[in-house]
Amino acid sequence: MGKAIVITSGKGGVGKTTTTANIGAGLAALGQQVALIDADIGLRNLDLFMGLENRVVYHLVDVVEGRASWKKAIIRDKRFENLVLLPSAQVRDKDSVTPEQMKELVTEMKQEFDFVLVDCPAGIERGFKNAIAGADQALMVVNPEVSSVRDADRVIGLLEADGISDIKLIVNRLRPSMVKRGEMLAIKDIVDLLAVKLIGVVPEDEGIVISSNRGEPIALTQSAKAGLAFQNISRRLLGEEVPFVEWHDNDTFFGRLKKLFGME
Amino acid sequence: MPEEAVLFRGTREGIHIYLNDEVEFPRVISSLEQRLATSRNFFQGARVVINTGRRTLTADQMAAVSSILNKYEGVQLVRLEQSRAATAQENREMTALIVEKPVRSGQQIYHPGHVIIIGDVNPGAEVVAEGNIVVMGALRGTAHAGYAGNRSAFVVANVMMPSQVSIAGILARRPDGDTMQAKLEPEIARLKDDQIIIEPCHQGSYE
Ligand SMILES: Nc1ncnc2c1ncn2[C@@H]1O[C@H](COP(=O)(O)OP(=O)(O)O)[C@@H](O)[C@H]1O
Ligand SMILES: [Mg+2]
Repeated sequence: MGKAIVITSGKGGVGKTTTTANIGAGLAALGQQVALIDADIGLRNLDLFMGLENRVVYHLVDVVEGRASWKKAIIRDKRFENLVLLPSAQVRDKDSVTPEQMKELVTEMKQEFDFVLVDCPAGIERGFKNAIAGADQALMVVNPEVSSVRDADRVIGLLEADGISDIKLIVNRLRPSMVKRGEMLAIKDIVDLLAVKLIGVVPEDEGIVISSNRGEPIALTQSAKAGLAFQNISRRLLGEEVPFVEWHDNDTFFGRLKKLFGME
Repeated sequence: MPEEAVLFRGTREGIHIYLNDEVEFPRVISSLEQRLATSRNFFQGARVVINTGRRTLTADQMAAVSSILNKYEGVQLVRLEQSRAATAQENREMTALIVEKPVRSGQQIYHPGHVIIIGDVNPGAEVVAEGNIVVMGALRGTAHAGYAGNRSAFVVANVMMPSQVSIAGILARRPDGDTMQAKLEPEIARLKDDQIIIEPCHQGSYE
């Protein structure tokens, strides 16, 4: 039986959907059987990020309301045989699905896939409760900003209260130059505050916007820094120890010197 | 030795008058009247806070107090407060709640005794205790100790950077835009003359 992982954040626009698409593609590239569920009912866009929008026929609400089986509703990825998407409904409201129904669906899909990744909507209302209902683990996506970290902290508290204790952190949209100037929170400060384990750092990369618009996950581009970051997260999810060489807050010459001499 | 029936104390806010709750009320009233009369000039135009201790005033008792105050021109009653100052004995006997994980944004911990947090109190989190609060980590959120009026309550944190801390309802707030780094040593917040003082915890700083 596979694992269900919810990708969540509290705040909107921090990169949940981007992360779901890229880790999905990353895990599929590593040979895993992967299903993506777009649980952001009303704001469907995981299909866009995957470039699958014109193949959508049935959606999540059709499945829970019994109009289609999940096997009929899933769309197979263009690039990977072993990657599928269950799209969300565009015109329904979040309340058309209950947490119990989601849990049942996710549990069923886990039988057939190694990973079921659930893309969570913003906020902490019903849509959030639905998305976390069947999850064994959570990936928290934060941006290095005070408001994003604050929301993530709130959401981690809610996840823990719901019995989800395996929570890992992804810092997205890091701009090392801003951190160096003290204009952005440093990774260490974020991890200290949230007290959860870091699984990846994704830099700000305009290639992400371009690739999302094209419907091609950047994780499939070896050369892109953000692509590499998502590949590393995928490998870490499979239990591999991948060193965090990509991004260091203090990766200046002086910073390294200070480390050498034990000044930090 | 009979206890003082009323106690005066000047604060920034004005004059605090404590009406001793262990003295029967008629004696409190006569004592209040006497004390005001002897320092008439002092009270002219003063802002006054009345603290009734654990006693809840009846309407009649309240009327008695205000009729005395009204005899003095310009005396302004800014607040009537009731403190439930726990005795040293009660303070020691309070139970402690131990929380073994960080308190996160949006979470609130309330305990009618002491609270010990093994972990951080994050921004947006709130800890409320009738006794003391001890944070074995960084206090970045809000802590209210002595919530029911215990003025001897304190807050201790390994890293003291609260967004707000209060003791017995008296509040201190981080100044807007304060980015000052906390000291990397445990600090204690206590009441001194109706103001919250934060100072290092190490021995010698205690009175
Ligand atoms: N690392 C990044 N660098 C640049 N742009 C990014 C990055 N991550 C996300 N974005 C962009 O930010 C926007 C919001 O991302 P999205 O994944 O839709 O967030 P969410 O699902 O959390 O609302 C999108 O336009 C996306 O392309
Ligand atoms: Mg989204």
